[in-house]
Amino acid sequence: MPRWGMVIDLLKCIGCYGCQTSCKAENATPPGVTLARVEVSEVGSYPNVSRVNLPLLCMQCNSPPCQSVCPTEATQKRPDGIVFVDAEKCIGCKYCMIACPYGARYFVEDVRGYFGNQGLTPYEADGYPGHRTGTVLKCDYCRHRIDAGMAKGLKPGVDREATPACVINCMAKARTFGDLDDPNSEVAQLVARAQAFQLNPEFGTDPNTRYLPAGRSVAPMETPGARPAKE
Amino acid sequence: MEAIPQSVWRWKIAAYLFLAGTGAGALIVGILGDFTGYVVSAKISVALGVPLVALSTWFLILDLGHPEKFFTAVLHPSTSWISRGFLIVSALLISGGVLTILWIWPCGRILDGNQGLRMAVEIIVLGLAVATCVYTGILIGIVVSRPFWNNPLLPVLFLISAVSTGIGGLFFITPIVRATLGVSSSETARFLIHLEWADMILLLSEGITIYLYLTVVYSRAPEAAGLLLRGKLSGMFWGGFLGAGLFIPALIELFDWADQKTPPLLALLITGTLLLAGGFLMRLLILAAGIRSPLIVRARFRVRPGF
Ligand code: SF4
Ligand code: SF4
Repeated sequence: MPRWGMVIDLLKCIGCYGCQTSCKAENATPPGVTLARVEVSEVGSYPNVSRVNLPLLCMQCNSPPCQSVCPTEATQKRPDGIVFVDAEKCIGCKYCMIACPYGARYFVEDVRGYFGNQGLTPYEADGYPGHRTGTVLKCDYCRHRIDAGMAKGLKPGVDREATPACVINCMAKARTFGDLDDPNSEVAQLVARAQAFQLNPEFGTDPNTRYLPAGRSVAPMETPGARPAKE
Repeated sequence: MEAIPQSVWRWKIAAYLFLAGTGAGALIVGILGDFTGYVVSAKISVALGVPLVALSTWFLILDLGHPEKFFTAVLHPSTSWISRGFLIVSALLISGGVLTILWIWPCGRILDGNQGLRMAVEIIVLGLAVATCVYTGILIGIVVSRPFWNNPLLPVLFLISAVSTGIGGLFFITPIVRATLGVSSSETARFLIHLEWADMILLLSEGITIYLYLTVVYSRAPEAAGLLLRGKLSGMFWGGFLGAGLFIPALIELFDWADQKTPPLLALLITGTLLLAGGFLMRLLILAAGIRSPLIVRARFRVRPGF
């Protein structure tokens, strides 16, 4: 059984919002819902100011607090590590939104389209009925793509058709997807590097989505096993 | 830049926490009243408690995206505090309901005549009422990534406040009960004087707990504490909760109590209202201040996730 994971390289991310847009296109999410998003912050104070682009999505935690607080067992974790919401079971109590440390969950209030009184576009009309109002929506690593791809014998993370939309659309190749338990996969090798980190590990969530830091020199990254550059 | 208050759970959940606490508090006050021999006032307080707890669940259900399926919230008690709370509050409603029916109305005779059985039921209700007050604090207190709530003092604070608002509820309805049912006796008057004294102690401990709470929380969640102390919510915190909800009722109670006479109805009505409003405001403010910890990008950058 694979354990799906993603590595996002903050040095490569240029903050183009391609992941955010491609996720919207793939999952037809209503206004206000951005399952993949980029938080841009200015940090430091003049004259030492820098910008950090932090792409965020569900971390697919190994110990997901969203799942343990869910009173209806609507939030479940698959054996391959993907955490998802069974919308039929969800009663919309929003406890999971309170418990998720990463802001990865969204309440679907209603599915008004992006164009107000003009009604839904054909694309919206086609995609929105897939979401149940009054429930919570979250990123599930595009499990529909993974499942359909694997059924065809494709390899998620390698074959585009079986890989999350945000990953294949990232023009900077900042996102890598694959099986963390397969030592030969690209994600497993990236995660093995000393600089790879999880967001706020102190929450005890043990995320399967990992990051490589923006503040590092590139050279040692090209030589696996080399000592990490001083940050 | 000032942090944005938590906005996932708002006034309806605050009303749930507040009413569940107040109802449970009224039950605690009533039962302790009966244990000390103030039967008439105890009955008024117990009769007030159960409807309030029932009303609280209505607000929780109202906040759901799918209220029609609220009963499935009980499915995950192994880890979810909503499921556990569902069980605790249901048990309180059932046992409190039994106490009300068999002791007050419509079958009041049954427990009136049987001291031993009454005491047994009361002890069960008392335990569940305390559990309910504490649970309202645990529900949000377990959220590790919201350090403003993640503090063992929170259930303590909610328990103290619940008993105090339970007293507030009793103060509030006593004038109404007197006017409508004509229930008035030297016994209720004495009980009310004792309650004023007890509530002063409670308000004092609540003030001390709030102080300790903020001291502990300030180092772990400075932005959240800042929201209350000097940010967007500071007016409601200082003027609303601490001033009108804590200090003024304590002052009125002090003057009243010093008198040692039957508390004037207007004073009871005002104190009751202020205690109740203060309790609700406290839940509302604590909910709003429960913002997430910032996300730390390798110790160098802090990014605050939305809502
Ligand atoms: S990131 Fe949030 S929604 Fe995703 S698994 Fe972790 S706790 Fe759940
Ligand atoms: S909102 Fe839905 S998924 Fe989230 S905790 Fe409640 S029932 Fe579970």
